Amino acid sequence: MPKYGMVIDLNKCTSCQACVTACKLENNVQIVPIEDAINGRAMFWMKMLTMEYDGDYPDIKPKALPRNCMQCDEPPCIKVCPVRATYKRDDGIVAQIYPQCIGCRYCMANCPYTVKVFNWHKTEQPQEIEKSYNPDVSVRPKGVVEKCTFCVHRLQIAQEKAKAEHRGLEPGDYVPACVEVCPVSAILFGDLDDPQSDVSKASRDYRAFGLLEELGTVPKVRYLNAIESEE
Amino acid sequence: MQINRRDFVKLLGGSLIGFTVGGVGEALLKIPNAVMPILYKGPKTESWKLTTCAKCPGACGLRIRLVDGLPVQAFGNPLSPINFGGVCPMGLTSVESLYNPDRLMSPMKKVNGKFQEISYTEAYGAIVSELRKNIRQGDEHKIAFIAQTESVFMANLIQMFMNGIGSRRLYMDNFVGNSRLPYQNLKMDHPDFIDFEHTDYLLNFGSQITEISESPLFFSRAINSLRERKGKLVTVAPKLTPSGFKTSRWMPVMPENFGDIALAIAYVIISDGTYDKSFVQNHFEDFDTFRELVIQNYTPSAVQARVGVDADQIISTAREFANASAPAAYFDEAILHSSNGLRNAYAIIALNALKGFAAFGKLSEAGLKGLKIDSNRDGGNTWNKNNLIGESDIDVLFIYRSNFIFNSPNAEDLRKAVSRIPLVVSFSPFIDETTELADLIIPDHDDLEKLDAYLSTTIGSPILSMQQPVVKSFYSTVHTGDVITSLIGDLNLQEGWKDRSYESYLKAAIKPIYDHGVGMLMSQKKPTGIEKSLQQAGWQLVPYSDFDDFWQQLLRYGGWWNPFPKVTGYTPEVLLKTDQLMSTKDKGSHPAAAQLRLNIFFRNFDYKGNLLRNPVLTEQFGMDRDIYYTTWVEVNPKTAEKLSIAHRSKVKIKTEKGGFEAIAIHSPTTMPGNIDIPFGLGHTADKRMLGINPVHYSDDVFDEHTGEPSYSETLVKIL
Amino acid sequence: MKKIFVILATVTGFVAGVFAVNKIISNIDRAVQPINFSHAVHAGKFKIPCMACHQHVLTNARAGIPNIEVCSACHSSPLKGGPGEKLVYDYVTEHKQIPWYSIYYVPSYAYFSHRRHVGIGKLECTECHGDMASLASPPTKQFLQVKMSNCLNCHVKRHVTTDCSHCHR
Repeated sequence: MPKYGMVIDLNKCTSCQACVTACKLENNVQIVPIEDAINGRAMFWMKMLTMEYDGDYPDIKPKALPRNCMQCDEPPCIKVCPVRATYKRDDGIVAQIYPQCIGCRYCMANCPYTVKVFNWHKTEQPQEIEKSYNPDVSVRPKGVVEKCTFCVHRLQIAQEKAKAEHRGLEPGDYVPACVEVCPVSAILFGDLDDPQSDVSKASRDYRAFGLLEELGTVPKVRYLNAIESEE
Repeated sequence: MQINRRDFVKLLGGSLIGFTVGGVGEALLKIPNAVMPILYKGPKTESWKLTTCAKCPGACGLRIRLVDGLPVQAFGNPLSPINFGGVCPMGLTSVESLYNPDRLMSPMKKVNGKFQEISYTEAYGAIVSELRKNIRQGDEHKIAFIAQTESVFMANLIQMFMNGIGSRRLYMDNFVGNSRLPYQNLKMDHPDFIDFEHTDYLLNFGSQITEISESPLFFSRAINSLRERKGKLVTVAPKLTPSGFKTSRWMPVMPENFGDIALAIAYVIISDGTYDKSFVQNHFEDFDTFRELVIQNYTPSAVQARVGVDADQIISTAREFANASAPAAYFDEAILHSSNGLRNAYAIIALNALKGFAAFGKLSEAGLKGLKIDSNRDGGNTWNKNNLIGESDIDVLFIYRSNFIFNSPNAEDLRKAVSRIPLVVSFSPFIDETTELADLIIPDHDDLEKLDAYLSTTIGSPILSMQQPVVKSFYSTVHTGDVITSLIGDLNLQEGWKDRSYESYLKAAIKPIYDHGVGMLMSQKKPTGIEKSLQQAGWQLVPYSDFDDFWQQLLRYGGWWNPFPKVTGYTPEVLLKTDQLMSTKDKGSHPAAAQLRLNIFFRNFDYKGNLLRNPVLTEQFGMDRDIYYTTWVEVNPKTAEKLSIAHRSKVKIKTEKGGFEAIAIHSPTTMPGNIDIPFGLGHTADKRMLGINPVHYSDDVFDEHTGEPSYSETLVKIL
Repeated sequence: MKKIFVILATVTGFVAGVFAVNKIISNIDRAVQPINFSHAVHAGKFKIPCMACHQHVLTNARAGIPNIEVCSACHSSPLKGGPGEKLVYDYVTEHKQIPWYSIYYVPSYAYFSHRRHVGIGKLECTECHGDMASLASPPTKQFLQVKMSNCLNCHVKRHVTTDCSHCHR
């Protein structure tokens, strides 16, 4: 059983935000009304965090950190869901089942990374968004929580394709949208349990760290620290 | 149990009310599903088509996913050697542009101040008759053309059209052309590319190299590999944008002082004697006068006093530059956006000359023979859009996809000037700020519906990226290339152009590639081993039998390139005369001492003002600052403290042209004394846009030679 | 005491109303199809296999109702048929798609793939769609209602995954 994880190399990331846009378009994430966005309810599964305060002016070393769901191995969110709308699959992906979700938002409160977003309204989407919905992903109704799912619909399709062709799932078959579009290949994805895979080796790199590791969530999305060049 | 009548009635009433409520509720919830929707017949079959993104000069390969023949998503083409499968946010939303409801569906004519739909024949006929009248009366010079395109083929077609008409009033806004303007003005040969494989030191003067540049995605990868090889990137810029996040050193300098920095570095290199003496002796004619100028005026301490950068920093940078084996000082079109931009570019060219242009390369490719790879602004043609204001004798103005009213500070003057022109024809697919003033609009196809090609050498090889229609055009839009070829044919401006279309022109222009036989279609990654030897020996990895077959394969694979071109070093004659380095503008004040300055910076969501029309990018525009749909300004924390501006508070910004509100963000990436403001919001022609356009509040400061607006020399007050 | 009974009666009435209307709705005839297509003639008499017309059942998630190109394979010339045959000939000659109404409808939040079930799982069409070859006019009700309980019953019986995220997306 593979254990899917991701390693994001902050040394390579150029903060172009292609992963943010790709995730939004691949997963039919809603565009919220302007007032909601201004009040902090914009829905982005992948967010780009910018940290600019390392170093003193002008020797500052800003870093851009793409942050999606950490797909924890000990997810705080699943422990509080009353209806098991979010749970951890055998292959490590923390799933989110929209028809099951009752919208209580306990999981949102419990997630230390605040990766979960909520559909507060059913807003009418602009026409061009409606016409270019990804047919592989549902459009969430009002009142459900959603988050990054490592594009699990792509896994569904890849597994089916592999089965139809009478073969096993190969490493390149299933990549989430953010991994596919990154211009500098800063995001590595794959089976963490396979010692030969790129992502497995990268996750054991000396530069690797996880966000808020001390909380014991065991995030499966790890980061490689940027290499700061010597002055 | 005894139930009397009253109780019975109560029970009955209760149950009936319950029944009705339940039944009606159930019906209301379920009946819409009970009425079956008409079947969406498509089996949702997926197909893929390759094309090229046209939203910025990069020309990245796109792979469009079509479901039942309609585009749904855009991804990158993994076999394109420009982007290797990556895309930026602008390219990812190509499909959203296609379905944009604000797109014009047919040619329009302005009647009584409002736009009305007309037929193409009527619109085209009006243009032809007007042009014929001008030609007959000898008024050819009264026809002007303002164009913005990244395709050299389209640019050359427009140049051909204007040459045939006989008018020199052509303003071609092409990024690569603009980047090469300094070389053209010096009548020097220009470099084709920077050899990122061998460069070990990149000194970037003001280019937002990984965001808006000649090839942002290619440069992103190239800079990462430069740093992996322990090379250095040094950024000289007024703001540390994401292009500079990985820089080894940031020298905060205002754009008008770039030349000073370059010459101060030259001073150190010349005094140390570490310049390439043989190159300078053989190719830099005016070197002795140049040396005199630099030694007298550009000591690092003098520059420190003028510009505010530490002299030690300048000296370290200069020594590193001199010690590197293949250093490159880089600039692109962005350098022209200051009042002495051209002169600064000359200074940087001179600096590169001191190290013999070691990191630059030239394609000595005979395979480019016959391909006109340069676009315009050559031939000493210095007409630019600002001339519209002074010249009152223009009869016809063509505008091709340039939103110059949006990205020029002197928008009001330009508006008045354009309104004076009797016939203004625009080819824009949207009614943007510039097209609002048009009398006639013949909307161009959307990028996913048109045929075009992009030729570039930035990656170190000649590469032709093909843009093909992935879907038949939805509306009655017309490819502008077809309009212009028809005009050339009908007005008899060139020999043998009757009944030509843009496709036939493109085929003829691309034929030299087929004839020459080198290179490969983008059918696989760069060949290695045996395939490489075969390729170099002339075997085609994807064989084609004749030109039509080649054309089909070209469209199928998305383009052609030559992975093993013959390259030579770039060793031009440096025809720079020292008096060209004299600055006529004395902007020598230390930035922190002067008044606050407004500095406009760019993001990779909008390129020159004609892109931010899609809801996804508009929402994402300020996401990394947690600001949505509002204009914000960035202030250095020390400046903010001095002026008592709290983080994320509302401030009022006042320039000479007016005042506006914005949210102030503390950011150490801003120079003290600067107020940084992003470019891209504030489209007044689009009802869905918010924010303000900072260019319209900027002072009318232009480069005296090129007429390009300065984006960083506006004085501002903050309240 | 009376109050409780009244409330109970209201609630019972409510529940009864919901169920009654539900039953009525699920039994009303769905929309009438534009042509009285007879599976008995095509699949029964002429023994055309299901996949010949519903062409994408092995390769796609949706099997697809055939578009006019498929019908025109046989109906491009007038055949000796009933009144419906004249109608389909008109559609073919004008190359207009027949506006069929859908009986089976899987909502977007569930993923049902014909390729998985028929192509890989080797299920027979009749297991979920019933004996279509015996219907002389188009079906008006779903043979096996598209309800999660029906899906799960079969999955449990055949020991296939019942993990939520395998079908919900």
